[in-house]
Amino acid sequence: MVAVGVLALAVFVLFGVVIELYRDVRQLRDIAGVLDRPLDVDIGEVAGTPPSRYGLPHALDSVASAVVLFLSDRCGTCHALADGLKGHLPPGLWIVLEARSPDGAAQFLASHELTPNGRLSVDVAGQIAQRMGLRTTPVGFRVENGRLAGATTVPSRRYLSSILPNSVRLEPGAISAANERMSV
Amino acid sequence: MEIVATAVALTLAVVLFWAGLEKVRHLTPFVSTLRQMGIPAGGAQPAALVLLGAELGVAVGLVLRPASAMTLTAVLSLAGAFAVSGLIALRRKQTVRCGCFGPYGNGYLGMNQIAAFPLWVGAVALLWVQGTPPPSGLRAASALAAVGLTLAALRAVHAVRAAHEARGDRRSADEMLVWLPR
Repeated sequence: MVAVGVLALAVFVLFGVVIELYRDVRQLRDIAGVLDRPLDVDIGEVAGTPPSRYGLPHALDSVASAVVLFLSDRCGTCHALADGLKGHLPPGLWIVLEARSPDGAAQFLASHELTPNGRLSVDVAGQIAQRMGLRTTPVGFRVENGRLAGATTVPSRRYLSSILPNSVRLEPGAISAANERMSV
Repeated sequence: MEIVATAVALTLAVVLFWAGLEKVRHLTPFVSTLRQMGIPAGGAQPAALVLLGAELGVAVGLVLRPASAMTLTAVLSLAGAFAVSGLIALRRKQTVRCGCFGPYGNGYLGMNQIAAFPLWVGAVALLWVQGTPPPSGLRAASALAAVGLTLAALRAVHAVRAAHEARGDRRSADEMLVWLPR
């Protein structure tokens, strides 16, 4: 028992060393600017307004919860985010692609196997972003009950998946299984 | 009531072990704190070592002889020293970083140490009134193991959190660096 106590105290000290190493690494990453840390974007007067006012799809004005992700063909992280979608938009995600030219937009979409549809629109002249006063990408705008509610930068795919609205639903098939049991 | 007294003694032991072992690992911040308190450069290091030894010694005493007069006097002396250091820090113009629990803490010396003094006194009074007899060899060893495992578990939570955070940073960096111009 004494040995267990002494070893546990040694483990405590070693865990302290590990934590300190992690802190050192984080400090270095902070200097290099590669922390997984989103920044809040102050959206000012845009807050509480309907998305369609800025040229975003009208359908957004009636959604309960969604994220509108602004990407640019010139931004490295935007390419990484688009690549992570694997040609498929998850539920609740809408994308606006800003591009320098129609060719640039087409190239971006083709390279990431994306196709414009109701939830993915191309903004070649950057008019939507201009109306909103947005000059940064990638930025995710949160839409709640058909109104723009807030925005943050989106530094990684991991963070993007964490801010997407997750609808809570009953397990499909559970009701039919229960009905089958009832009939037996 | 004996269970409460034992729990209080072991809690105090956890606090003192934590403070002492953190100083074993990294004494410099604590030496710097003592120098800020006005202890001359030549005396700060020995004073830090004495306090470190006192904290660990009292922690062991709380596990092995929780109600002995010597242990309780040592606990009161330490608590008094903490409170006095808090008072001195409050009287100084500059804020003094605590360094009480190693290099991680962001706390400052002052009101916290003064406010903790009645709690220390209360705990000592409880242990004195209860007068728990010294535990047997096996019970004392079990108590030491419990204290050590508690400390390791608390620290493990921080380590896992730090690892999780670092993993997030690493994955984020991977995703971004892929696209940076080489």
